[in-house]
Amino acid sequence: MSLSINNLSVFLPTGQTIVDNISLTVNRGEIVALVGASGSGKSVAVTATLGLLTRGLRMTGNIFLDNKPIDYTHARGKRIACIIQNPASAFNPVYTMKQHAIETLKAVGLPHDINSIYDAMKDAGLEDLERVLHLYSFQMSGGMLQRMMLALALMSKADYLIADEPTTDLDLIVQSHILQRLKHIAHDRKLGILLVTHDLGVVAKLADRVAVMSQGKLVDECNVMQLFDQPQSEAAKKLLNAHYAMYATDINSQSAKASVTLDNESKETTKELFSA
Amino acid sequence: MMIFSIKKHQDNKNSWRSAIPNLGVIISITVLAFMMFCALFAHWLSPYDPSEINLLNKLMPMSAEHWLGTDHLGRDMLSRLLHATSISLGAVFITLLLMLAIGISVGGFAGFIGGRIDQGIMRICDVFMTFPTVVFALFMVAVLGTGLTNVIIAIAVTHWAWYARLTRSLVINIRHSDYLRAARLSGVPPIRRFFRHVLPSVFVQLIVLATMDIGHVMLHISGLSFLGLGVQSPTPEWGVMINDARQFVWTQPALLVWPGLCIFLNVMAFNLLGDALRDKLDPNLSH
Repeated sequence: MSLSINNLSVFLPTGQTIVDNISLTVNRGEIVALVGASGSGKSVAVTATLGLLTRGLRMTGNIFLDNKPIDYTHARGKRIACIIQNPASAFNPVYTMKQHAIETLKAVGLPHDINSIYDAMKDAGLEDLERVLHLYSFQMSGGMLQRMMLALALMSKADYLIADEPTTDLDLIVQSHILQRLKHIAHDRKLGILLVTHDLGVVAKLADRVAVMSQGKLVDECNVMQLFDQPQSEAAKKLLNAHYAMYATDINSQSAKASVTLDNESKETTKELFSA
Repeated sequence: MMIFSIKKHQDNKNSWRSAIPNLGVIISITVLAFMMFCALFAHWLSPYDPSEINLLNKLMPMSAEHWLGTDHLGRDMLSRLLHATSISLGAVFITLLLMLAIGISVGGFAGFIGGRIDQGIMRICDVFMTFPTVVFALFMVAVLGTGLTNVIIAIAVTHWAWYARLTRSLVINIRHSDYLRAARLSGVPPIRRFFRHVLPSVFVQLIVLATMDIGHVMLHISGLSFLGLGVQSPTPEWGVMINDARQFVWTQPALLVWPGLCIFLNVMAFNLLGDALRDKLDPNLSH
């Protein structure tokens, strides 16, 4: 029970290779992160996996769903759900969220009762469901739309979820809540998730396994602890260094110091408050 | 669209220019509503049978019995005008529906499929667009024979290419949108994608073009009827009525004026409405 990409290559019309012979397997119930710098070919690889390459691009290799060559008309939506980038343009501005939800349920052949819509929306961390369902996409924030898209993906009860940057527009509180929920759902419902991201924070919280892409090649594939402890490839080291540079060089000592200074400061302010 | 119109409304609030398009819209809608009413209830509204010949009463001036007088065969002008309105407007709407149907299906198919088929269909459209429509319509009538049905077919066949081309370009725009990709990824089948996501936004633009075209089509039908190619003589139609009255242009000009006025009012009303719709709905046209 797996979604596997075998020896996938994608070529430009000029013959230049943009995805070079990658193989990757996502088992049900497992979360695999595909990381890499911008332009490393992650999104193209995912687009090719879904059979939606732009006209002119050529691909070789095979995609297998549960060990059978994938049949897109049956797989899309019903077996593999998707969260695409740019939630703001992913909804038709003419329809409300409710109409989108019903369309999704119809497309996968599920009965469209309101409770299953509500359940999926709760899972995606949405609140005030009644009101949200009657909104149009231009009346909602990027974060709400991203959660709605996740809700639509969960609603379809697909076995696999391909998520391209699913948490970029969310604030940190909502982000961590949703990552928690996703992790639960993946393990409870045996949902296989292929997570495309360049945010290693998300990877650390969510992923079981990590595949690192660099210049169209798959340069590293390991479990998530290994990536953070002993990164093998140059690309992985670069990503990690950049990540640490963003959030303090040496996490342990820096954060310890920070908490001490904070403590002292807060004591002083409390004193001042009381004396005043 | 909603946001756009609200914004526009606020911009125009204090401007004297806002009064003019609104006046135009009000006039055109009033005229059209009146004409539609006449067309729909012509049968009940007309005081006489429009083809009833009464040579004793021929060429009567306006009077209490014959509000608009009678023509050279003593037929009641008002009754004839009412029936002509229903025939002319009906013919225009049928032509328009036919044009839209051909245009949307051909253009939508070409845009949605793309590739070589699209290119082939567009070249065929180009061929249709190179002919002057009047000449082509005359040719079609010559081939098919005279009669209202044939005129409608001739006009639809000569005009669909513009609709097909517009539909195709709009469909191609939408085809590359993220929401269509999202719908495809959710497993929505192609036909439902087309009707749910592509057609509604295409339709808005097409309606604008169609409204601006109605006047043109109306003149076309009346013109062909005037030449004796469309509606045939005893049946009342504006073009036919003008043709019948030709010989009395110096003695009884009213016979020409009434149907001419009807054509003028309708064409003007539709053009005003089309302009107003375009100003409201076309986001590319910002003031």
